[in-house]
Amino acid sequence: MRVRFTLNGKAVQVDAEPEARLSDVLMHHLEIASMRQDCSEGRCGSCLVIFEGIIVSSCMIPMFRVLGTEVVTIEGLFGSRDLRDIERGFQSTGFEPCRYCAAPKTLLTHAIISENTRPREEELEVQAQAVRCRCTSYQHFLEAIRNAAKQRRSRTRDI
Amino acid sequence: MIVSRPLRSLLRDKTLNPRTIRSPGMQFVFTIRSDRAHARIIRLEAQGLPEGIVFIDASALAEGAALRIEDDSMPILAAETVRYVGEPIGLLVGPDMDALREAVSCIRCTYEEFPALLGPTSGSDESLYQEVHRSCGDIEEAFGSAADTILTAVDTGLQEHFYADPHSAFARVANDGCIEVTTATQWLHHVQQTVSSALGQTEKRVRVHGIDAGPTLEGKVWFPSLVAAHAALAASVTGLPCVLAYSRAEDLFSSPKRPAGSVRIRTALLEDNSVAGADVQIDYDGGAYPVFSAEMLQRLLVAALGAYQIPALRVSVRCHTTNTAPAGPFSGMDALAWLGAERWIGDVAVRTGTEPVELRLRMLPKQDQTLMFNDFADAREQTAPLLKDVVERSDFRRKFAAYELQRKQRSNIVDHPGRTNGIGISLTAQGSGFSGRREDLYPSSVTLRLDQDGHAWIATSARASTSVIHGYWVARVCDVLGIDADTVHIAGFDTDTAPPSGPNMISRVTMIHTRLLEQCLQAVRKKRFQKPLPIEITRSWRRARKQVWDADACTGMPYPERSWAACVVEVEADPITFEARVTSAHIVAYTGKVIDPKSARNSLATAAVHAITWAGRESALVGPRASIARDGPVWFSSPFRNEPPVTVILVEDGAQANPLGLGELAFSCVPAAYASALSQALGVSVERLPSTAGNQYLAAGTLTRSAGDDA
Repeated sequence: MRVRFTLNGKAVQVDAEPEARLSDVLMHHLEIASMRQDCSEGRCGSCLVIFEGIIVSSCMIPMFRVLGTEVVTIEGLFGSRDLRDIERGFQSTGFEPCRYCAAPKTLLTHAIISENTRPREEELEVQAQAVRCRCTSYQHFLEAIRNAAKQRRSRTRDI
Repeated sequence: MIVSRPLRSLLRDKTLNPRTIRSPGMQFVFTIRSDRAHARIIRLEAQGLPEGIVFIDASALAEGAALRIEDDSMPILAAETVRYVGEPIGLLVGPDMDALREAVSCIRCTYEEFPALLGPTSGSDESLYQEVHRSCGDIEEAFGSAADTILTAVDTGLQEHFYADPHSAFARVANDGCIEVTTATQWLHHVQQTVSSALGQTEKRVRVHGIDAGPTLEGKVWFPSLVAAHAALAASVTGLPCVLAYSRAEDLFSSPKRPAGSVRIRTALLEDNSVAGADVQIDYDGGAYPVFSAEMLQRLLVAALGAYQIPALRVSVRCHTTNTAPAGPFSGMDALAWLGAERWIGDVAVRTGTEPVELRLRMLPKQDQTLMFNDFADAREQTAPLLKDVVERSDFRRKFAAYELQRKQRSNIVDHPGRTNGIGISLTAQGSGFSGRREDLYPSSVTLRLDQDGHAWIATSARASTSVIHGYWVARVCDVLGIDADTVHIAGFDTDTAPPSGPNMISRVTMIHTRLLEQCLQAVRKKRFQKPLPIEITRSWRRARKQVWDADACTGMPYPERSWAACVVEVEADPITFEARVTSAHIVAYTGKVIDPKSARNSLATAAVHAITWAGRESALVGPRASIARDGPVWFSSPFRNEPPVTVILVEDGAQANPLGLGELAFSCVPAAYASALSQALGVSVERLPSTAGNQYLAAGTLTRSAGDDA
């Protein structure tokens, strides 16, 4: 089937099987370099994308569901102030994700602090588990998200 | 100032994922594997393959092709005998991955099956691969005069280790006829050696572009060489670019596993409760094709009785070969021995009724003594303050006494109304770099070039999992040569540019390559205004002759450097589910010069969390017919939300100008302290790691020993 959707603000179309995984299409058809795929069961968080404004594992999204939707990968944040906030927050924490999870952890952070620049601790603790790479500790990731949120609040004068 | 790699450069780097590399005419590769644990291949053939799909077996390999590490070797594709379920026997190559999966049914393999060994055979030499024995003092006399003996037993199971990046490789034949390979690896030049062996090419005809492996718990030391050799063989046979990318399930099923092992220590106690001697037997399973076996044996030997000194000691360390996946991830290579030694001193503390910290301090080498099997004369000086510090910070003595009282008051954990607590302590070390002369086998080199335009280039195949090390190198070049950071570059991670440096392990990179760069810098600084630019200096690691470890006499220094850590872990156990939760961990470490304190503390804290999962959760299950069970991916069981707070204190020494390495310390100290804490919480001696709820239940129900522990 031919699927038209918006990827990182641009209209794209691909020919794909209706039940093909969005992650496969992003990686193999659209050559999105940041895209990773690991468990293919929606559990590891390597393939996170923002789908219709919600952060989800793209390996769980069949292509028939993508028709007419809006998808954002980390490439969609390049050059944005939002990404700079996250970068500063990570740096001030000394938080350095590995090459494999840098994209999903950054995108997850973006999704969390875009929804609420003062995320509630209980929610944050659940949300931050979405990416399960062990290159950094979970507590360290939480601290990095809090610092990124602080950067965002400071920029948007949400003090 | 040390500057880590900007996040945006990491995100924008398109070369970091072999899965997204696309090239005209590209082919996919699918690995055909043995489904027998031990068998002779009678016939292997492909019948009725669809057009466009090629089958490759061992006959396509060059004569004598093998993956070699020192004297250990394994076939790149099995030709005559298969030795574990999942062993590669052939490759299917074609333009469509789905078609390849369907074509698997066209491959027929007939076997003559042999009995399989799924673990070392206790007390038998049937599975023995290599062994070392050493002794000092009169062990026979020690046991002859003993008033009592204690037996300490510790077992660890085969374990999965998680890295988020399943193995993959991309290979193609370049225009000049050379083979080019791209893969994530910790050992760039070993990939080159293995691919050249597979294809019968000289190493110069093989170019490898490495991708930083990241923190993989050493899961990418040698296995990427095998995957790369398969991709390169496919590219060589078809003449087309080929990508071989494992799925998570395939990776889990076929990749190396942390080896299973056991420690048995028999101790002779005198009337006055002092230790007269100990007899240590350490066995580990190297799997179907043991690798790094000589190094493993040396490390286990050196760590056999930990940091402690006794009058007589006999140690026997044995590597076994069985029909399980080859041993692979080596984070904390000697963790098994440290675990055994710390459990041993815990047992001695219980039997003699001695407070565990006091016993440890008493058994450290005295001022004029050295450790039994090595020559670190300053061991006591370095370790005693660590022990005292961690005891104070964790409030160990008070908590230990309180939990001990609780344990004695309850008759049985199963009848206990609420959660029970325990606290454990350990003192362990990390030997940085390879032991003895082995560093000379994997020569480490750094090249520094200062160009006419004022730019400096650092070339080495050493890569750390954190960019802080590279950031520090750049900062040092700026400081010493007085140039700007944007004129200092780290040259490419490829075999054309980087001199060989053996396997990348964070401790080697931190300790050895940082020193080599310092030597290069001083040499460039001296020559800078005496000789015309460019100046290029290369320095390679050589140990001072007087330091070299004599494996027979057990004298000298076993490792280039050694760092120490004292650790306290506190746990809480549920008497209904038998689940245990770590509530806190304290680590006080002596690590020499600390390059970046924040990064070093984070690195050790992250490793501590890995070590807790290693000790408490991550078992790899061997399923029916000797295969690794595919269901229930164990790697998702990291504690994450339940991750305990880890306090890390780094003790610097003004006299020590160099970093000593700390990446693997947690793998020896945390599990040992965890097992002690859990023993106290459960009221039984925990003798098996990973200590899953099931194991703990079995231990509580079957062990008769109810004495507390330090446990």
